[in-house]
Amino acid sequence: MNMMSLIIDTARISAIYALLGLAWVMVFKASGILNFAVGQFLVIGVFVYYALDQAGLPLVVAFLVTLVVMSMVGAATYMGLVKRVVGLPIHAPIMLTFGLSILLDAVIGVVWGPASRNLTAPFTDVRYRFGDVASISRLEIAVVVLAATILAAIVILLKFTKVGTQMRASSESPLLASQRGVRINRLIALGWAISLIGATVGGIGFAYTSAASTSLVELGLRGLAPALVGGLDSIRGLVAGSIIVALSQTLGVYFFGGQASEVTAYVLLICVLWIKPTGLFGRKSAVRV
Amino acid sequence: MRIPTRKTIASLAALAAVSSLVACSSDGSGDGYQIGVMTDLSGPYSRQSQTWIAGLRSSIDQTNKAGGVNGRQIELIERDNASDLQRAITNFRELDSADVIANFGNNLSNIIAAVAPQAESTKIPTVTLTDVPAVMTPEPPSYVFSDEVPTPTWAALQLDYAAKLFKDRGITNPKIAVYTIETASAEPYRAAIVEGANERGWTVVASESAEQTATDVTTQARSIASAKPDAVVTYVVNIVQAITAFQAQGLPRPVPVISQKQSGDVSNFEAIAKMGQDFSAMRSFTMPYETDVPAVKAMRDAIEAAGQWKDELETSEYTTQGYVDGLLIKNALTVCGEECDRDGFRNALQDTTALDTDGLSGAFGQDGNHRFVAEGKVYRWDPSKNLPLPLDDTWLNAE
Repeated sequence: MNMMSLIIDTARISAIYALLGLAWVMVFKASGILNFAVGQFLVIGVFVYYALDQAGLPLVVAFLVTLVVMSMVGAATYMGLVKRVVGLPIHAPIMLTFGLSILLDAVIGVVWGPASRNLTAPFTDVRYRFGDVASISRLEIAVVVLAATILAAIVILLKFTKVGTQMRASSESPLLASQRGVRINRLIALGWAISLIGATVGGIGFAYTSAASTSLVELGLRGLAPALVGGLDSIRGLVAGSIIVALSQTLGVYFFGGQASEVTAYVLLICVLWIKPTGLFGRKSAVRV
Repeated sequence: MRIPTRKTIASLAALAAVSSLVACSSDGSGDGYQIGVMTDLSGPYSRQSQTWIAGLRSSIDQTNKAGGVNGRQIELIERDNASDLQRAITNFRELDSADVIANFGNNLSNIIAAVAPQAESTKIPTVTLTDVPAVMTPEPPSYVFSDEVPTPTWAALQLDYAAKLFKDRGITNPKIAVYTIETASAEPYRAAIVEGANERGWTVVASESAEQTATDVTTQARSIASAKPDAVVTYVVNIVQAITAFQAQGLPRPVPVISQKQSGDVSNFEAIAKMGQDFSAMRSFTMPYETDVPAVKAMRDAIEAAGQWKDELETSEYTTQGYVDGLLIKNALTVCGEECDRDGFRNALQDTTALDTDGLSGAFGQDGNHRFVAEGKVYRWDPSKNLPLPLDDTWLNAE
């Protein structure tokens, strides 16, 4: 196997995984629940972007407006729907987000139907080649850079800002944080907003290598594997988990064929959870009661 | 939380009762021939079923308006599988209880696999729109029939068309690549491609597959593009993603990508035309927008007359397939006679070796292996019409 190809493919895929994983990690960090409607929100984000592009907006504007819209959708979903079940027994939030995913599936089907749509390229795509086999396009580089930028921004937000400190505090002890005057619900809504930004950027990035279609829903669950491998409450773990899952997937496909792409990721996940149930970088205290 | 009042509960109960009565009202009343229809009227795969059933209803409506068959009307007893296996099994039992004499459906392969043993035990002749190798080979069950081209036959048709292209382009020692999704049908498909290529003296330079889910396919695309094939034959659903990946990995745009039916959706053709790849796909039934075919116009009139017309029927070949299934039902009942029962209907299907569909499909007749369709046409994008149109009027036959 060509080493350069391995590096490039791992970087490309892990960038997408990191963005998708961010959608799971931010919701879990903020509200302690798993959002099983990530894939559906992702598809809505991609189609909103497509619609704005088709409406004639410059792509950069369409992209930014999409992120604003989706972050508002994320915050509204929490404030209007999910807030009521946070802290309830685990089945309540799971069934709520699961039910939401089914509802959104139906809405997506009615509004956009099953047809595939090609996204307009933001610039003339050039492919840089390294030897006979390895190559990466300008668009793929842009996705990797964007993913790295978003993750770095999240780390800065969490570590070096007042809001980030409050988010971490409310994540570790919501009761104590609220007693100190922290507006917990606003912070959780922010977590949901960031989550949907991650899902949308990941979805758009992937759609540029395939097409905008309802089948992208399946991508949502793909983000769970790297998040769980790294630890559901850790951004650092998410980066490591994304790289590990992407590497295992690339090697799996290379050695065992296309049918191994999902299998290898989940075999790896099972191994990691068996050895360290909280993930490689997860905290034991992260489980809420 | 609000506690429902007695009034609310009573209203809901009344609503449920009315709903169940409405649901039962589609059951036949007994005078006509009762034909069961089990398909996905809701759920993720309902789009093609909705167009298929519109064609079927229209065909039956046309027959009934013309006096029915043997002086009796045909009643369709419809059940929604919603792509749910358990629901499909329950539906089949209900159709058995309703004494249907046959069952038609556009069903997922796992549903057919589960229903086939029931079709045998209840002796309900069951015609499916899918060809399920696990069910249909080596010998199909006595009561299950398929009206779709078998997967290995699609492979043969694709290779036939590739041979024509190679000849036109003066390629003497062709190299082909094959790319499939991972399904139960993919293995016999790949085997048929390799066997067919070997028989022709061609080289299969790459054989790759991908999961059905949205996944990265760069590694597979790189393998295919770097093998420098003269053509790529595919059996995938997400063909746009595949070609995007092929092009990204350096597959030249003039290299033909020949797809079988699954990825021949009009929107896929349109997207691929914008990408500039040489692309063609197969179809086994004439498209409803091909109004220069006289039978298509008659079919469209029948659909209008039945009040079933809606825009999405225009670009779905399942519309035509449903309409042809209606012709098959009419023919089988005519042969079966006034007192037609399940065995009689099954024998009539068995004896239907040639049904004139007047250009709505290629040769249509039971081939001895319970399959009615074995021919397909090659479709390519026509930029002047903004539609995929057949290369010519020839129905390719792998035999």
